[in-house]
Amino acid sequence: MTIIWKSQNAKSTCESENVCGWVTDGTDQCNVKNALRTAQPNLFFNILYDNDLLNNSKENINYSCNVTGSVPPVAPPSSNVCVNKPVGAKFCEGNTVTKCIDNGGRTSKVPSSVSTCPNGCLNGECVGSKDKITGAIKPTITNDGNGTGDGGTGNGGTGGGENVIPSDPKAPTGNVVLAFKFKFQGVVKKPKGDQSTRFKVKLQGPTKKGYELGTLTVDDDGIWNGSVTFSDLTLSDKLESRYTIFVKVGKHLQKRICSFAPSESSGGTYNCSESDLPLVAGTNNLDFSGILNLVGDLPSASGEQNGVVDSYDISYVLNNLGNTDEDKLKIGDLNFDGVIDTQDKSLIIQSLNVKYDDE
Amino acid sequence: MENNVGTQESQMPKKNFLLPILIVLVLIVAVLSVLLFQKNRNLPSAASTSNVENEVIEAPVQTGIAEGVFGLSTASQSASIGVPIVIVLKADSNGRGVVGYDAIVQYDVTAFTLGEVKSTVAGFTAIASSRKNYLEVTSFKDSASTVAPVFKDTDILTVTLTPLKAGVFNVDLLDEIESSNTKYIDSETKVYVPQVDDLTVTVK
Repeated sequence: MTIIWKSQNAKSTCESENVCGWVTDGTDQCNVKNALRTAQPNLFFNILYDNDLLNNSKENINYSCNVTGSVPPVAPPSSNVCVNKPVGAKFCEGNTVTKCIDNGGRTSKVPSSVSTCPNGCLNGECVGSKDKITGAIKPTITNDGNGTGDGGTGNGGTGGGENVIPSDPKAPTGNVVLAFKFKFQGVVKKPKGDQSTRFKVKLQGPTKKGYELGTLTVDDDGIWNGSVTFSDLTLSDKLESRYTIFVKVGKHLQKRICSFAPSESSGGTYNCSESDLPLVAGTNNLDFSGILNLVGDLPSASGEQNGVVDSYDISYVLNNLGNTDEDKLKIGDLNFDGVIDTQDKSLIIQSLNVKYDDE
Repeated sequence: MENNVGTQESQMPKKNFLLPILIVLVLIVAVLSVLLFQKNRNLPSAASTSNVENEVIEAPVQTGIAEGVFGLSTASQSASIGVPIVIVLKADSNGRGVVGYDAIVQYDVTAFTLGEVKSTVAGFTAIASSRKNYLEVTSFKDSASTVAPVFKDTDILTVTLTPLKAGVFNVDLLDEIESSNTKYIDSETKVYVPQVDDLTVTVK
């Protein structure tokens, strides 16, 4: 089996992973968290790894674990199939079709078994079933009905309408509006003036899409809102048809995000590796305000960012401490408070611990 | 023979006339090329007033003016397994006051373990990031320090490595890798890309 392997200081980010490991004592053992963690809280595996490479790398490293004991299932158990799926979505596993129900109005995580599938399941769908597995759009998703393709998606419903997932392997396509909420490092309330900033978004998934540009505006709570549109995306609730979103804001590091409403235990530590966003035709509300967008990759005067927080970025702030010139603020005022000061410097120093764009 | 000599002598004044013109033309082209090159690479020029709010552009590596020298050295290029060696980063900033710098040090991670990374410039802080098989250090002066120091064959950083196995290994100061590069920044936020020198360590 393969685990997502991280350094010990990334332990907290492992909590959101399905299977994830970290060094516990510097020996050749790893403490592996998986979906069965509650049942088997401390699973130990004998593995062979390069300790130096592990300690010196910030990257996730895939290691082959040589499991000497009983191998726990890697696939998510039925209790997890609804994570990040819309309320009403159905998932076929074994010979049971599970329907996701609402869990407190925010995200749907609680399944309830609703029917059986006598011929078994394939790719999350019931084999031989005349009825297509359907899933209602969760309340935060508005479908404007502009989906296309066999079986159709976005079939005209709004807020609670049915989103039909075709049994035909040819996946449908549709236009997608991504409506974002972001939280920026260092911004805790609405900054003075009519602040706005540009951002760009790209998608990785069944349809790869290059960057689309958008503009973010800030509300009274310091949350930044904006949207971008992608056309002709392959859309389906199948696992292999999910997306990862990459967001790059004008003074920030690029963030890779895999779920509708991600969260983190410590600011800026959110990390994900698996595409897990079942986008639908129409508007998809993505509340990324539960994680921090780290500042620090400052643009040059010509607007270029190099994807790294480095000496140029911190030197720009140091050379402009106390500056309130409008053009300088556009580059170096990281918390949008109208002056380049030591707070901005502190924010960059924090970001140096992450340093690189997510790729 | 006389005819040949006479022919050579009669051509000499023509050659003398063309040579200076060619030299002048070559010099003019060379100077113009250097000026254009430096203008294009000096991206953070204060003269530029691009509205960054309207653009989100990524450049693979931040370019700069080719100037100065960064190099690695050690007290002894011979080392023993298990005995830490201190690699020193020396810098010459060509008279520029330095506010911050980045240094990318690549070494064989199977041959060394990384120890302490420490700034040796007063008032400077160094933050090291290990990535794959290289080390990237970002160092910058404290905001309380009003003077940007000029590096003149100055020891600016130490990196401690402990050899794991015998052999001859390079410890390289890379000019660039992926999106990062070795550079220094002056008090006008101009970017300078120094010449870099490497080091070879023999471990017994």
